[in-house]
Amino acid sequence: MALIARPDATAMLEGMAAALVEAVGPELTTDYARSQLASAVTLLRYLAGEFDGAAQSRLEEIAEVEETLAGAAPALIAAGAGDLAGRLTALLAEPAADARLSTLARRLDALDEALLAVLLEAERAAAASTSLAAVRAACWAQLERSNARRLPR
Amino acid sequence: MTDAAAVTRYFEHVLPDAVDVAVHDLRRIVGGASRQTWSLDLAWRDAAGEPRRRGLIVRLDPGASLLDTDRALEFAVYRGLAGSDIPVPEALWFEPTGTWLGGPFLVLERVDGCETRPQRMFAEPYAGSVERLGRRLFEIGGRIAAFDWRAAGWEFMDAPAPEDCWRRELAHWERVIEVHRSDAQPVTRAAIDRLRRHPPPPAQRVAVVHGDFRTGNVLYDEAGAVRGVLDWEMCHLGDPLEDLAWTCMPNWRWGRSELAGGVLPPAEAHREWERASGLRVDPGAYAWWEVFAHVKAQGIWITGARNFADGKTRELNLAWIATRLIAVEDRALIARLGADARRDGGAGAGGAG
Repeated sequence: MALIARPDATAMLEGMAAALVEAVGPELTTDYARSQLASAVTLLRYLAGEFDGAAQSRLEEIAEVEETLAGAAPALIAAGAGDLAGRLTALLAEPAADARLSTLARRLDALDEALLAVLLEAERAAAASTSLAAVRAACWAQLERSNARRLPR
Repeated sequence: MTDAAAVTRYFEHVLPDAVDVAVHDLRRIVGGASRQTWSLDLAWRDAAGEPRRRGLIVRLDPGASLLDTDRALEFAVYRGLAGSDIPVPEALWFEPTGTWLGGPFLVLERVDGCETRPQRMFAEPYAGSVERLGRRLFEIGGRIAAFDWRAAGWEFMDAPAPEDCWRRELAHWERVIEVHRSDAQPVTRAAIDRLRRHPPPPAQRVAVVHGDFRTGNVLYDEAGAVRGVLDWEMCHLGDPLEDLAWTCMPNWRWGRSELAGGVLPPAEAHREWERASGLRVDPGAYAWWEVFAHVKAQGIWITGARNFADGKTRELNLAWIATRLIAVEDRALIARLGADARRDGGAGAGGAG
């Protein structure tokens, strides 16, 4: 597998970016071509920075969202949203499949859909329920944590 | 569209009396991520044999872009504003088919001696005129809001009722996001829900809304004059606060985070706009449109990202949008909408703003 050979994928991506800047850039003659090259280099450097930790970051985010959802279930039941709580319980009980990035992305997507459903329920009822107000705050806090993973401050 | 011969054949077609038609210096220019933008010099001899030459811009629909918009409507808007107090380049031809260049396109006059790139505003020879440019920008924004589209006979535009402006735009961008999103987008969808539950008051006036009026979409010169307003492809009739909130949003501040559009303090920008439009900026309504601006921007980014992911375009800046700008927009929405939840544990539903 080329991705775990030496140089590793991160070094290859960084090397590709450097080669584009040093070898291809000086040959370009139009502003448009230069702007495309600049975008390619930026993307390669971004991917190089993300590659090594991508799976670990997804796993951590999945665990955080699962914890947030698990914490919301009792308040949902108390507020009469037992169906939603039941769907959460079933989702959280699903076993992990594998650690492919595509699999992790699908899992995270399903959890985010559930988080949205909980948040919308809490947004509507927060004024009347202290426990759902806390759920609402927890959902927004989770969205903020997830965002910080995608866009470090 | 790199084939000068094909471009030449088109101009021979639309200028049947011209002879010796020739296209010079055909080059793609940076900007206009929603369309391919090409610059060229067209030379020909007219019916009297006199040599003629004109700088032109061709805006060509690619297979996919940031947006899926109506080129015919954009052409009608350019034509409809000709001779008004809103400066636009002259729109010369519209070709609705892909027969000539592989996609629909419109041809505009090229306004030379100007700049569009916002970052250039802050360097010589433009830096000394930034404040003047800012005042002109918001004055023209106000004029767009004041433009009498009924008197101008803009029957090609669908006019909503004042109380329906927000609903129509929110539904439109919700649909765009639903069609193009590749993942859950919980922040944006929560924002849409909040906006729907806390609507703004009816529009003070149903006005022309440019749809993307901001620094970056105007031609400016060294004296700080706005020589042309570009990119009318999202133009519609609606609440003029939509444009003002869009112009002032943080996305278009170019590193000058305290200045609306990167050019003028927000309070002064609003005063210029109010003076030119004859309207007032209602804080509650404006707050709603500020949040909506982030949803709309997200719709644009999500569309571009999806088109890149589907292989419909190879514009690499759309891939960058997918990796960064969607998260940037989410962050802005979280800061606005999650604030009251964080502050009081959600004891109040709060407003959209």
